[in-house]
Amino acid sequence: MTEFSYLTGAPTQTVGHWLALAGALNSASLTLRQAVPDSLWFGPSRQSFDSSAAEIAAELTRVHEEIVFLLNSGAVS
Amino acid sequence: MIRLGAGAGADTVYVDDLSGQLHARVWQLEHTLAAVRASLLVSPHGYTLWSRAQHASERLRNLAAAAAEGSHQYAQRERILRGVAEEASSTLMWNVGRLMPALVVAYGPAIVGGLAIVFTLAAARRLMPGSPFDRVMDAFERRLPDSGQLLSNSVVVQATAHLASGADDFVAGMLGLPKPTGQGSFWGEDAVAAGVITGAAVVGSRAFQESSVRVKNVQVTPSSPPENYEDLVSRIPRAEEGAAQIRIEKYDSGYVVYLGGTIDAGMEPSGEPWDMTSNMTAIAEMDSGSYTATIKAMREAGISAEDNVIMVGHSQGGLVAAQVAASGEYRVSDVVTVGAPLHQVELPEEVHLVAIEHSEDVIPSLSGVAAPAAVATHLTVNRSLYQSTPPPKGEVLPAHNLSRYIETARVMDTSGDHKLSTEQRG
Repeated sequence: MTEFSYLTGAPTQTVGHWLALAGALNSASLTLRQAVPDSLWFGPSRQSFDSSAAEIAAELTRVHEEIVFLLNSGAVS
Repeated sequence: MIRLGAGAGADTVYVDDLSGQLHARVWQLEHTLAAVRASLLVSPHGYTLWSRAQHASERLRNLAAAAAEGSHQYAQRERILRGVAEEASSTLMWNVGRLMPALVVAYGPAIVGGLAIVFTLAAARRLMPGSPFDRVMDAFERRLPDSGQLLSNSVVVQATAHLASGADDFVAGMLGLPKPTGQGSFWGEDAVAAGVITGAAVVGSRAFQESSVRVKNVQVTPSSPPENYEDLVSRIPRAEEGAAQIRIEKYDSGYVVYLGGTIDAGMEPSGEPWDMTSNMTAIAEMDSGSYTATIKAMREAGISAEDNVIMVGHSQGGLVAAQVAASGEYRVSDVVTVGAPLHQVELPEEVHLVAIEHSEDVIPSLSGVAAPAAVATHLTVNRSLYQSTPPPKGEVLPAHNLSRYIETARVMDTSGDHKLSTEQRG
């Protein structure tokens, strides 16, 4: 979870949009990492799901972290 | 007995399973991407990151579809297991019925004696409030599980469905008849309910005996069309004494009829058509007071057999909504129900049904086990409220509460599952 405690006052509209996107990416990544498929779902499709889920969660996290870095660097105002 | 036919429960969407959770996240991500697109694409950083997020979102959508396929496989396996359980419970009920006469002969005197002791002790407690015996009973009652929590247990809910489905098997066994096969009109939950109503009339009881109803228009207000499931469910009248039980909205394209749930839980008819008598007569597939009142109100509102109608109902209102659609008296295109005991209503395939049920709500189970039938237009939406936390104490049926079904409708609106798309379902 990322805290944006350094922000005081209302963010600009662009920063607000970046924050919204970061939040949505973070939520999707967390859901992918925490959700547990049903035990009665097994076989090749389940294996394929598990490996894709790990890849997509990693990509969502990477994009999220890059947005956080961008915001922290002050490149967005 | 499990009646096969076009009953509710053909397909099920679990809004709280993995597929439902992923679809909800895809919906959130896609809406955010669309909302921020213009603002972020103006910079090179923005373009790159937005595109990558968009690509990840597309992959997530494909993954959610794969999870939905997994849910489908799971549902098929669960359906097989459920069929085996249904057959086993049906046979068990029939055999218990067969043994019942012998059990009554063997243990009847002991049961009657035990009941006499219980009633004597209860009477003694009422006569001597605050006595040591009363205090012991108070302490004992405090240790008993909360009735609302007990009735919200999913095992109790499942057992209730099997007991209701096996009621006719039990009666057949007790009468020494062969086990019902599911064919013919003399068996089923409706036949058992009709038997109870007739039996009560024969012994001169007023219980479950219908009386006439009247309808009065109490209010006319302007209304905007419902846009989603939350709008539909939140407009269902609350089950409150003295309040209107029916709401009808008129639009250029047709009508939406909303029906509330049971108000009076008493066994004997009062001035309230939304009572237990209506529940029993509705399950018996006879004209219940609430059904008659609904038809009268629809006529008073000017609805004709040619008008398009959408029926929406909670609990008993949902059962009546389905029965109006099944009757063919009106051109009902859609039925949306929450917590309704409609598993035995045979709806035509051309009627779109969305039956929303909580796993911990015992009321839909009173109509027995949902018949599995492959009808693409009939959909059951299931949500578990108390997977990680226990049901609240002190509430009679917390999972049956209309407010909680409004929450579930909100979850459905943001689930992103294509089967729940209101545009697709018309």
